[in-house]
Amino acid sequence: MRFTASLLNPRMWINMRGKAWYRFRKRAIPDDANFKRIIAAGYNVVDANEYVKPLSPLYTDYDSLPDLKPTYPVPPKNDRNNPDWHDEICKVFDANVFPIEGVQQALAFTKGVRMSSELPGPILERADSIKFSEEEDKMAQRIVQQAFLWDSYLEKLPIVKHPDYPSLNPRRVYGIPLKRSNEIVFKNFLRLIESKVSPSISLSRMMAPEEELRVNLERHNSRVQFRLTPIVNMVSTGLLKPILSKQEVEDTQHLPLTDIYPFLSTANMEEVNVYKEADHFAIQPQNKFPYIHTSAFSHHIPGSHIHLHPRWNDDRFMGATIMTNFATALLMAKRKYGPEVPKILPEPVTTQMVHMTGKEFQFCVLQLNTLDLEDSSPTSIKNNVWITEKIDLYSELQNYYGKEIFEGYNPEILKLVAGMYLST
Amino acid sequence: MFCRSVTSKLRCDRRRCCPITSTSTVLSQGVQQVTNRNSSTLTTPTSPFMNMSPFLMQRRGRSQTRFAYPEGMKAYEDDWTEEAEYPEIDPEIHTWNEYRRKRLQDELDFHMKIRKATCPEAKNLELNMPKQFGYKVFRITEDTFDYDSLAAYKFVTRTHIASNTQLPSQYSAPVLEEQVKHYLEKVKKPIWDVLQFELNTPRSCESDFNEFPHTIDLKKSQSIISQINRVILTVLGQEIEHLKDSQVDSQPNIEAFWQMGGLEPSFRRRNQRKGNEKKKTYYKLKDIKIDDPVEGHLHYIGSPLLQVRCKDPPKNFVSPTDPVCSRSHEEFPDRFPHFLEAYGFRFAENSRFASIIPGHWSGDLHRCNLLAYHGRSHLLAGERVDNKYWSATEENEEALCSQAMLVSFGRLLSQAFYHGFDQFGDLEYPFSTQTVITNGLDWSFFAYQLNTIKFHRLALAKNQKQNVMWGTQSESIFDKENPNELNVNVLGNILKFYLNTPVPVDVENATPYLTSRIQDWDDDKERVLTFFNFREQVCQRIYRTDNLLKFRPPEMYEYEKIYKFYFNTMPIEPRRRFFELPSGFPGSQPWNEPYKLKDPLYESKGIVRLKAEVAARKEKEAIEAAKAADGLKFGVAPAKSGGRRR
Repeated sequence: MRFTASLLNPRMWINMRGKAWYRFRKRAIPDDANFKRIIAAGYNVVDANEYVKPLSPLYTDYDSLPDLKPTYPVPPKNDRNNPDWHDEICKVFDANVFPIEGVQQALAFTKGVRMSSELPGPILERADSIKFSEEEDKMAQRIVQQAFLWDSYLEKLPIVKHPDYPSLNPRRVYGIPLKRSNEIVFKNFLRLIESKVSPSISLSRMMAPEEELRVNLERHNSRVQFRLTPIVNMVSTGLLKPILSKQEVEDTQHLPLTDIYPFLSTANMEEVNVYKEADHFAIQPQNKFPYIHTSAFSHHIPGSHIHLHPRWNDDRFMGATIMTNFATALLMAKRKYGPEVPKILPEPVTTQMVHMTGKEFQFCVLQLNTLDLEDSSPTSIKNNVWITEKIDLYSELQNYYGKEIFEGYNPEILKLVAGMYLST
Repeated sequence: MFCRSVTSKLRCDRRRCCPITSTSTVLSQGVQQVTNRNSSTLTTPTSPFMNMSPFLMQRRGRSQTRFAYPEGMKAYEDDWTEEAEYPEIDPEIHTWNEYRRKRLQDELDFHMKIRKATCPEAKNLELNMPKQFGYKVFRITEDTFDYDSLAAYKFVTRTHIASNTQLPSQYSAPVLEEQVKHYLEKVKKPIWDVLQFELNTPRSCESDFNEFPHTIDLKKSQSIISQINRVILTVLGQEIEHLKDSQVDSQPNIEAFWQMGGLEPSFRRRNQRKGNEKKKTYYKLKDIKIDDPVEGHLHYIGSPLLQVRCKDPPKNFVSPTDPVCSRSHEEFPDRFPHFLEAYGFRFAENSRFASIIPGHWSGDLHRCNLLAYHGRSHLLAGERVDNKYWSATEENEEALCSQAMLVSFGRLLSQAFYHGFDQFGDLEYPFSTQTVITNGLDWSFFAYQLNTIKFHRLALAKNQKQNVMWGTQSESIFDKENPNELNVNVLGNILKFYLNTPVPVDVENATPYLTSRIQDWDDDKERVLTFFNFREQVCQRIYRTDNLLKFRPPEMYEYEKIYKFYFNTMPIEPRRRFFELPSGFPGSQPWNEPYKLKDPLYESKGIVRLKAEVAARKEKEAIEAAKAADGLKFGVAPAKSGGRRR
């Protein structure tokens, strides 16, 4: 701005600077001697403070305390000064990490064998035993529409680039984030199932708050940490019953272990120095509902709203599902047998998991028999994994400029969720 | 001149009583032509031009078309009546000048446009059409409720508090009490378990220094409430039909927009009005006094922690003809005597589009709210902590009361809008809802009946209705005497709210102003335009379509303020900016220009060209691939580029 006569105009000068003393002066109550006059006239004057209410207990007068301002600690940097810094490197598995060799790597890490491409028999039987009426089927469809079409929550979604025109930067649209949609679908499916089964079952379950789970493990002579954030974490009074009996588990000994040489099974995990050592699960062991029953995870890749990413594919997604389920099983084993878990569990630990991408659901059940993961001898005991392929919830669902298109709803998913819900 | 004035009068007052006699109607040939009902023409020999001098006759002949009827227009006998029929005189506006009348007519047209729009999306779009950058609004949220601000909230929602301690009589019906007794035993233990579970589970946010106490409180109350809701729906949902069929939203966004007349004009507005007296165009505005009240736009933005919706609304608590529902003038005067800013309303925001959202879009037909839970975390922040005279008993209750009336009003207003009722024509039947305000431990319950939403400038004084609210004082969920047991009173109230059965509205057509859903529109172009622009406005996105350089709302830069506005130091500079244009010139008032619709399917030349290029390249690749495949099939190597061709 040019410094000219206009700026030096006395009016502006007075307004901007000359009256600064007036603005920042220390104000005092002027004593205009009115009280003296009133008292001289014969009136009784009482101090107003006598009639003022007592001070609020929450009130703190920051002005009266010199140099006392509310301060907040600076977030620690990601370097050696960080209190959580360790010289030993930790390999972290979280929502952003995927096993590079997919299912093979996940099975190699967890020392698992895949039993079938379907859920175990008892769960399927329970799923078939529940029959949903037409009305309930409509309600389920309404839930899906509510989650993806009718919810009015608006957030700026990430950029979705068109693969044919990568140079174009499309305008970012507002809509329902995928995590929220998944949450609405799953929670309301549970509500629908709970209104059908007997209350004694549903009251023996509880929804854990949204908290991060952390589990630690030693693998290939390095520390491995799982960090998971389930969207729904259903907890119950007891652990799930094992699916295979001891004899059946021993029968699976002959199944071959997967080998991904030359890779280690910890390949592609993120290596960090800043981490917290201890395991973390918000629910205390003395709680009435200490064990995880079923956990649901929403798979949304940071930076892309849709499930389209060059490095992710179905195989790696499935591997991530197995790894995540293994982590919850490990957490439950530690909950049951303490931090020093015996290498071969006296009783197997079973956990269930649902992995969602918005359109697709994947179900996984894992029976943890052993934690002796380094022992790769062909006759050792293995862990058992049942995992389905991705199942579509619908074939098409979108709001095309006011026209709501909802086609190809798949009722099987609700049944499978119910089957999982009923397992004890 | 005489003849000309005659014809012009005839032309404009055609269907009215004409004071001019039939002899004065003049035709070009000097012969009067009158047509009767049977449309037979009559001719009269007399003519006013008979006695005219030949000179004038000659002059007339040259310019005769000036005095003639326009082509095809005739005078009819029906146009004349024995007695004069004057238009009706409206005592309010008959003293107004034509500018004010025109403005009134414009406003009424605007109201009718909103009413005639067929679906909520179109109505919302129409509401925003007059302003391309949106309205200047007071944004009201649930973050703080100021000390002693109940009066302001009461005025802007026009809510009468029927009882501060007791819910309406509907809740003490013996049938309901029995039901509550029955379910209380089933619900008691699981709710106790929920509270034990939640209170004994430590959160990571509690030990986080960056989290404020009120955000922690909100998170905790959110999870307690969702658990309690889950318990109640599992126990009651199997037996009670309306709960089984309900929709549950967790933390939906609810927005309401309404115009409020009777507000105090700001000092700036007063000064503007004073300045207007000096203007040349003062005659347009002179009916407005300096201290006349102004109209403000209020925008409620909130989100309940949880909301349960049904197909039908809960039964109304009192009849709309009840004396409680008619306005008491002492409580609700025509004008609020203080600035809203003095009561903790934030200063008006300059550009915000009207958006009315009840927590779901119009495709969902479960559009009646049964009950909603709200947090009371504002009692741990803001005014509550800063004010040293805030007492936990009275001021807390007042703040909760004003919160309840604000959120219930906002929710019901948006619900009414999705039933087709806007605030310019009032509701045709009342709506009711139930509100719970809690942090998981202290609970207060409110019942609200919405009778009127017609508060805009023209209707505020005439509106003789008021809204009614009942409520209870906040109470702990644990029993006072025996803290190892739950408070039966609170549990009973929760159950009563769930058990309050919705009843279909006792009207033939519950949504008279919703004639078609946007989904069913045949005209694709119109549907796309309406829906897209509606969503853009609801997301508060502002842009100009006509000129890329003018993306943002207009702004006067600092250098312009000093060198152009206060001191005219740049007289030779061309005057192109909006504040330099003369008043009435197009572009001189950018804030008051209408919204311009944007077509989302429009593709610019560059994109069309790019797409064509990509398509051509793909086609070429496909052809080459096919050629290569052919070559392999017949054992011929694929031709290299630049190689010899046959």
